Formats: sequence, structure tokens, C-alpha cells
Amino acid sequence: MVWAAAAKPLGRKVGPYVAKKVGEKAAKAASGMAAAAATGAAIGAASASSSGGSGSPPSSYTPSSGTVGGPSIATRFRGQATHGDEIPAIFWLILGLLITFFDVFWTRFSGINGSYFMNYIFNDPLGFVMKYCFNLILIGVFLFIMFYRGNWNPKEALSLYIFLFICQIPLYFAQGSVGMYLRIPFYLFVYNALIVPNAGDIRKARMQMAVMILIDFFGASTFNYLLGTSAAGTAFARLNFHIIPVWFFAMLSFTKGMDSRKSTSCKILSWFVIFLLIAGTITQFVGAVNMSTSIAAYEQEQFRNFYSDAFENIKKAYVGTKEGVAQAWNESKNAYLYQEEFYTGEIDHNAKQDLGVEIDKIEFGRGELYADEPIDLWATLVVNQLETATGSQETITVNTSCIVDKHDLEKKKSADVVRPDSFVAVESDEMPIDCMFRSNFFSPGTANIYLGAQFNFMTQAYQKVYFINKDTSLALRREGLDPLDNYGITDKDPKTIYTNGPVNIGMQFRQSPVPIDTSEVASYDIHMLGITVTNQWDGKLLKIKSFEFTLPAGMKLSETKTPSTSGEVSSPYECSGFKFSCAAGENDATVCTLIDPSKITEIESYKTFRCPVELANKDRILGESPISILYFRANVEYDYEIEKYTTLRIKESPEMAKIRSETKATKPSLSPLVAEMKQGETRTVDLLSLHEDKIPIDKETPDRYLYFEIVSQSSPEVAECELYGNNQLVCDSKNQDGIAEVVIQVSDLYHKVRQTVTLYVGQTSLPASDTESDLLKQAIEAINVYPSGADKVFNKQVYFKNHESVSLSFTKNDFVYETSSNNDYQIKAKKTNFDCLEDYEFRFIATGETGSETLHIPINMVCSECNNYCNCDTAGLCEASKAGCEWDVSCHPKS
Amino acid sequence: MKFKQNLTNNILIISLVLALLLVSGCTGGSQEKHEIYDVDIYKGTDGLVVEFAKDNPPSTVLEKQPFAVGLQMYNKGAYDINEGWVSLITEEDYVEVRKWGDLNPHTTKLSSFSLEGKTKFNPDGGQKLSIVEMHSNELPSLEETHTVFVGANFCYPYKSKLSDSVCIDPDIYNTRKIEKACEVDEITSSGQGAPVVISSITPKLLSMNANLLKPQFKVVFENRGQGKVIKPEMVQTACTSGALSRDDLNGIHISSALLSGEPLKCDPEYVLLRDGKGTSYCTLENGINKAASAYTSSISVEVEYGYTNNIGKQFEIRKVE
Repeated sequence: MVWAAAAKPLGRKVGPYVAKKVGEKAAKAASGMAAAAATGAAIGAASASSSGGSGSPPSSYTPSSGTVGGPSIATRFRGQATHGDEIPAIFWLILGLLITFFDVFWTRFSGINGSYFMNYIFNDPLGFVMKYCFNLILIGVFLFIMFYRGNWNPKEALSLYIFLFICQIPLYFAQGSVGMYLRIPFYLFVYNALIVPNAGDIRKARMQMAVMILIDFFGASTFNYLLGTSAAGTAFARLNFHIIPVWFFAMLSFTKGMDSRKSTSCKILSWFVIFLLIAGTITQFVGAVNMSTSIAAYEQEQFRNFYSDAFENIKKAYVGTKEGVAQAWNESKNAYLYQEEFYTGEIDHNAKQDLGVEIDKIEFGRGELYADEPIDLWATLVVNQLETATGSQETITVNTSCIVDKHDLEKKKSADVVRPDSFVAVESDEMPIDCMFRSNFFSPGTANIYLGAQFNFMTQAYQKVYFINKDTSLALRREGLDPLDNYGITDKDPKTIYTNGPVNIGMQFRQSPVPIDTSEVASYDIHMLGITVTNQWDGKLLKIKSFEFTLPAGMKLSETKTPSTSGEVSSPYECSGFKFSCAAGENDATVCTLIDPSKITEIESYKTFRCPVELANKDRILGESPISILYFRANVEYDYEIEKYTTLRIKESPEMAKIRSETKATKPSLSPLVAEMKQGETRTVDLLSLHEDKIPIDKETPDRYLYFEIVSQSSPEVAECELYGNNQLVCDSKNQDGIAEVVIQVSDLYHKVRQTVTLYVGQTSLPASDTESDLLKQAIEAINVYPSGADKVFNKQVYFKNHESVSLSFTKNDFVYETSSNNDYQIKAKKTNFDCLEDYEFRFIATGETGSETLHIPINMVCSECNNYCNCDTAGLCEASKAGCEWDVSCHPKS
Repeated sequence: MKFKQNLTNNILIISLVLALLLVSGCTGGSQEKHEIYDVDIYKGTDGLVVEFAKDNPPSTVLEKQPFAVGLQMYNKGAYDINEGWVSLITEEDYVEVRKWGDLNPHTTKLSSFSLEGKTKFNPDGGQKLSIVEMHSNELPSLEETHTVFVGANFCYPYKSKLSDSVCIDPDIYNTRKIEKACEVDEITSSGQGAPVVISSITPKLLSMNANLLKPQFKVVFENRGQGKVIKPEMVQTACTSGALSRDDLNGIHISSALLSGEPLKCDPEYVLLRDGKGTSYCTLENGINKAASAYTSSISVEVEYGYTNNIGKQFEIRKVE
């Protein structure tokens, strides 16, 4: 009550200052009850002063009115806020964001588990009411404020009481949370400097503050609970409350009346946060988590992922748009500036189906993916191909891959099993592809799975070209007649037609109809045939395996007199620097084949070949008809790679989450019981009372059941114990002095821990207390090594559960060892030439949420003959501790 | 009883008469008949009319299958076609000509034909169906269907002739106060049963000397058909890939121009049609006496030319499933 007394003389005049001082005092309060009272009082006092007892508005208080040592912080803030908005809204918005970041990355504050809270109420409603609704401190603070203010208006009183009640709840139920302690000054500051001045009415301010406290402490669990049970929950189950900067939005609301809210910086920040939130929500669902008292590490990861992915997607959208525009611009520019450099065509629309290999939608078996379960995802590869000319079909060999985080060199790794990893498609087919990942392959979070398929494929294209006698064409044109119209041809501008697939082939010879000069004086009849191979899918054109084109009868590739470089195949035929070989094909056509396709590296966009074509036999080209219709053809065989990716949201399984949650809250271990008994004495021990961590049993894990059982007893002649009613250990000492040990196993659904209860009967003295970790003690067992000089292999199985990671090390590095799975360590180590003078031990370092513990397992040097410890003296001589010991190992002196 | 019998007989007679009247009335419409010699075959602007026979070629053909292209020809003009030519425009990569029916035993794409024109005894003109046996090639491996063009280019010699009477009036200034036998007027025609029409002949008398006048006729030609006019001697070339010059196109030759049996000299004799029209001036070089009275004389102008018609059709070659 010191704070109350201190507050009273100053209260009415310098209420805000008192509030601040009292608040500071409250913030310094060490324990829950004191802090609860102090915070409530602080806020309450501020409320009182703000209302001023006369209901005058907050702005009636002036900074200089009776303050001690200048204006108080609260007054100054309030005055500024109401008069000039000197604390700009942007400050409050940033503060709102900061508290969210602090929660996620530092305090890990996640509020109170609402279900535990409700359980607590329903388990003992009367107790709750008496303890929390009408506790003396609450009533005392309430009465103080009421007397202090002198306003006994029932509505005012009720408002204040409810407000104080809500203020105290977090202090009771979130003790020990750094986040809660951080909130005390934060609440005081926000309430006094922002909410009260801007609310205009004290009751409204209280209500706003109370609502925010409730949201702050119960929002996460309520949000989770509602989503989990509502229909919307299915759709939004992956949304995490922590990604919502609640205080930011609260600040937006509270600063609504401020002029500075209209500032550009405020608007930008507001829209930026909202945009990020919307973009993130749309583009990525984050795995739902089981709310606990603190935010887990992977939830931090989710937070990072959410916003980083939102950034990434925005960036991608921008970059994608930019690149798309750039590409379109470049293509247009190429088409315009270098008209013969880039040719394209049209898909053969007559084809009844799409050709190529496609990856259908990637699916996984269930809605939720858990890290500790095997994950299987699959897709269907659809292979479409046409029959070849011979009626048979080309075979397509498809090699599949399944790679996680393919483009991240550090994280990249392949699936455990890809089935099938390769297959040959003889006909159009659908092939399901499975990617299997063993349990714990993934950590909770997101993972991008790239399902890829490499396959060989072929694309064919043809370009129809009309030829006409040049004179006839000229004569017709002079008469204003279109030559093609004249002969009834409607397809006057035929485009290159290519078979559907990953590659587009475009060709261009000359504008149809091509006039052929049959006069004797015609000398230069070489025209350029342009062929462009374009990668038109999103995949990679890995390799051109063959490329050939066919010239119609009467034409041939013009010989080029360029010297061949050393080692190059000599050929007079060349297109854009690439050597071709030409041979006669069917119907007097000429088939030209690229000699060394390997010279063409990966085609990211397109590759154009320009080939000089000579009209060698014009009569053959023109034929007998006024118009001849001929075809240029091209054929390219290649290897192509497509991939499709999906993002998996890997969650921690509810079981594991619960285990972890409970592990953090409780360690099902027993305080060691060491009891001295007299002979013939009976002692009853409540094992539950020996449980080290009592609070979690009845508070945080009310549904938990600990099961005790006796595993073994030693020295029954000294004492015998029995278990009654699960947790009552009743031991009877016999008529003999000695030590009896009873090994008790305590277990819950997820844990099993053993503890030895040692009974000293009679005159037996107590040993020094055992300081080894309870958790790891079960694994402490000396491994006896028999250093006979030969390889020694020893196995040791150590069971660690509920640890994020366990590492193994040795005191000496020259052990060869193997370990197995995460939690179940089967050590197979061997070493030769043990040195008796050295100490060996295994060290297990188990790292969990609460820190790490190290388990030391000594490796004792044991003489093979006498089974005794090998104790070597500094001279390297063995010291026989027992008679008859003969050493078969040589000891080396310590240097 | 007698009255009744008479009544019955009268009814029968009346019924018979009515029946006869009805029967005779039904045949009344067939009394009008065309007399053969009434048909004017020198009318219209049609010459050779061509079309593909129904479903030849069919709209879809399977690869490696035979099919036919039917060329249906009608000579709806007034003149016979001798040594006409027809060439096929095909896509060699996809189809080949196997046999050209009765026109040409060879597999060449060019063939000649003849077809009688309209006569008084055959007022509809001659017609002929020529079946070209063709074969579709195998489609390239990755093509399922291909749309193929097939066209036929018909080139044939034809002529047009206009015969009419024309009034020659040496009193060109109309100074004689006597009744004249005829009045000078322009001859017009909408067609002479050929695509090139001698659309008008306008008489004019030019003074040669003091005693003689030179009759001159402005003859206007028009191509009113659907095809194109070529020089008659370039008929075959027009159906091949041979070169045609601009002068080879739209050139008609005035083969005959007579005034009362006397030849007229036409200038130009080879008329080039520009925008489908051309003019020549035909003159009686010997002239006529200025003192002669107006008289009616016969005039005939005949032109020869080549003419081309084209037809085309697209059809689909489909891969065998």
C-alpha cells in the first residue's frame, strides 16, 4: 500500500504523474500479486486522474498544474497528443509493430492458453470467483480509487471494477513470462499517453484497454480455437495469429483522430503492413500451431516465412512483370529491327492433342503434413506423342527427379525415393510419379519440392511457300492482280506450322509467292532460309541431339567458302556458322543435317539458323503449273527438362507439439528420495509429492496422468516396498542394516523416467547427493571396455526423447563410431590400443527448448583377467587393486 | 318415268361435257413451245463455266488413299473451244496425279480439251466431266492432318462476234431536206454469248476528200466474264509456269471486221483491255460517196482471245488412325 499512500496526496492534482509513478512502481513489482495490484492501481489511478472526479475532459489537465518537478510523462504525452499531435501517429504505429516483433523474436510471448484458463474456471468456479474476483488486493485498489475520486456512480464503479479485474488476470496467469512484464510499462504508456487522451471518455478508454488486454492475452488461443472448430477453420487453418500485428492495428484505431495519422509516412506504413499481410495471407498459408505459452522456434520461422514469402512474391510479381514486358519488348524489337533474325510459327491446330510431357498437379495425401511422419507426394506425368511415319511410335525416355529446395545450394537434397526414377513411354501414356520422404526428413516450416522430368522429344515443322514465274507475277501485279488471288489461293500468307511441344520452330524463306526468274540473265538466285528454334515452355532445352531441314526439289544449300578450323568437320554447307551435311532425300528433296549438334549449348530463348538456299533447278521448282506449292521442313530432336514445384507446409505433429509443450512445462521426474529408516519401520511416501515440478500438473496439464511403477528392488532382505494407489510407495524395513534400492518408473503418455529410491536402514550412512541430470540419468551406465589390444566394439543404446537434437562426441577423436536415428542412439564404436592412462568417455549433448544437457558416459578400462579397474600409476605401472590381477595391457606413462 | 329417264340422261350428258371441258382445260398450258430456230445463242456473257464435281475432291481424304478430282466443264458460250488447256495446281508433297481420265493419259498436270459451244441444236452448250485420278501421300510423322489446296486453271481460245445493221448517212451535217431511209445510231449489246463483249459500235463518217467519206466505227470491248483475258497465242503458256508479259494479259485480237462484206481496218488490231475495257477504231479505207443517200448496211466485228478460268478448293488429308 505504499504506492497508494504515495499516490493520494498528489492524486487529484497530478493524477497522471502519480499514475506514471505508481505504474513504474508496479512495473518493478517482483511477484505476481504485487504486480497485479500495482498495475491495476497504476492504470486505475491514471483512470481516476483522467476522469478527474468531475468528469472533465482529459484536456483540462495542464502540464504545470501542481506537478512536482515539471510535467509528468503521462501529462506531457497526453497534452501533446490532444493539442498538437507532437507524438506523431507514426510513432504509435511503429511501437505497435515493435511489440509484435519483440513477441516473436525475443519474448516469445503467446498469451495465455484460453482452454487452460477456462478449465481452471470450470474446475473450481467458486474458488476462481473468490480468488480472482474478490481478492483483497483487487477490492483494496478499487476502494482506494473510488475514495480517492469520490465518485460513487454505480456505472463508474462497475466499469472500474471490471477494468481492474481484467488487468490483474494476466498477472496471475502469465507469471514468469518476459512478455507479460514487458507489457506492464507498455500498457501504462499506451493507456495514459494514447488511449485515454484520444478516447475522450474514461469508461471508453477503460473498455478499449480491457479489450486490448484480453486480445493480447487470449487472442492467440481463441483464434486458434475458433479456427479449429469453425467451417472457416478448414480454409484458414494455416493462418497463424502471430502474423497479425494486433497492436499495430490497435494503434491505427487509437490514432484515428490524430492529424498526423494523415501523414504520408503513416499512410505508407499502414498500407505496407496491410499489403504485406494480405499478400502473405493469399500467397502462403502458415501451418496452424498448438498454442502454448510461448512461441516456438519454428513459429518464428513461420513468421519469417510468411513475411519473407510475401516480400518474395511481391518481388516475383514485379520481376515477372518486368521480365515479361522486357521479353515482349525484346521480341518485338528483334522482329522489327532484325526481321530475319527471329522467326516464329503456329502450333499445328489440326493435331488432336498436345504433345510432349507434362506434369500434372502435384498432390500429397492429406491436408496436414507432419515432420515426424513419412511424406509422400505424387504427380502424374502425361506423355503425349504421335505415331511415326512407319506406324510405330518413337519411344520417349523420361527420367524423373524430386528435389527439395533445388535452387538453394545449401538446402538442396533429393527425395529418399522417386518411383519410377526412369521409364520409357512407347505410346501416349500417364505415369504416376511418387516422391517419398522418410519421417523427419523435413523440419517444420516450408519446403519447396521440385518434381522434374527429363525427356527426349522431337518437333517437326513445315513452311509452305508458293512459287511463281517472275514475269507472270510482275504482269499480274501490274494489272493490279494479286497472283495468289488470281489462282484461287486463299491461304496467302502461310505461317510455319510446328507440332506442339516444348519447342517452337519458325521458318521464313521469302514472302509468298516467290517470283522465280527464268530468264537466262538471272544470275543471283540465292535466298536466305531462316529457321528459329525457340524454347517456348518454361523448362530447359538441355541439348539439341539432331537438327535437320529439308529443301524442296530443285533447291540446294549454297556452298560457303569459309575455311574450317582445326579439328572441324569439313563441309561446304554452313548456316550461321554451323556446319551442315546435305544429301538427297525423297522426291528430289535435299536434306541437310547439322553435323555437330553438341556445339549448340543450352537454348534459353531461341537460336536462329540462316541458310543460303540456291534455286538450282528453276523449272523443277516451278513445275508445270502456273503456281507451285512447295514445303520447307525442319526437324529437331532434343532433350528437355520440365519441372513443377509445390510448397509444402510441414507442421509439427500435434503429438510432438504436445510432447514438446509438456516437456517445456513439466519434467516428469522425481526428486530423489533418500530415506533413513530404522529396522522394522514402515514408511509411506507420496511419490506425486516428490514430483519436482508440481504446478504444471494441476495448472498447465490438468489432464495429465502420471503413472508410477516399481521396476526393480534390490536387497529385499533390508527393505521391501510396494505401491498403493498408483503413487503411494509403502516401504517396510527388515531387521537388517543395509541399503535397499527401489527403482521407480514414472511415466506419462510420452515420457518414461526412472528414479532410484534409496533406503538406508540402520547405521548405514547416506551418500553424497547425486547431481546428475534426471533426464539423462537413465543413460548413465559405465561401458566397460576391455583393452586387450585388439579392436573393441561396444554397443550402447541411449534413448533420448523430446530433444531437438543430440550430438555425440568423444574425449578422444580417434574413435570410430556410428550412430543411428534421432532419438535412439545405437553407438557402435571401436578403438584399438587403449591407453590405460587416458580417460575415455562418450559425451552426449542433448539440446532442447530449455537448453542443453550433457551426458557423460565413462568408458572404464577393465582388465580382462581380473575384471578390475585398470589403475595405472604415473610410471606406467599397473597397480593391482586386488590380488591376483594380471595385466595384459601395457600402460604408458603420462607425459 | 319418262321424265325421270330424260333427267338422268341429261345429267349424264352434262357430266360428260363438264368432264371433257375439265380435261381439255388441263392441257391448255402446254400449247406454248419453243421453236429451235427461235433460240438466240449469241446472248449472255458466259464462256467456259467450270466447277468441281460434287464431293470430288471430297472434303476429307485419308492418307495413302486414291481419290478423284472431278472437273465439270460447261461451254455456255456461243463458240466451240478447240485446244483448250487445263492445268492442275497441287501440293506435290501431299498428293500426286495418277491419271487424267479421258483428257490426258499421262500423269502430267497439263492437259488439253475441246468442248462444243451452244448451237441452235444444243442451246445449253457442251459439257464434260473430267475425272482426274489422284492419290494422297503419306503424311509426315508428326502431322495428323494437313489441309491441301487443289486448283484447276483453264485456258482456252474463244471469240466474240457482233453482227448488226448500221445506218450510213453521208449527209453528216444533215443539210438535205429529204426523208432519210435510216437514222444513224449507236449499236449496243449486252453480250454475244462470250465473256468478252463487244459492247458498242459507234459509227462516224470522216471526210477523205471532196467526194468521199470514210466510215469509222468505234468499237468498245469489255470483259464481262469471271476470268481473265489473255492473248490468244498465249493460251497454252497461261496454263503453265511459262512467263507472261503484261501485254500477254488482256489482249484481244480483232480477227474480222466487215461492213457490207467489205473489210474494215481496225486500229489497234490487238486491243489491250484496261480495267476490263478496250477500244478499237475500225475504218472502211475505200470510203463512200458523199452524195449517196442514207442507207442501212450490215456490220460485223469478230475478236479472238484467250480466256482463263480458275477454280480452287481445299480439302483435308487425314492420317489413318
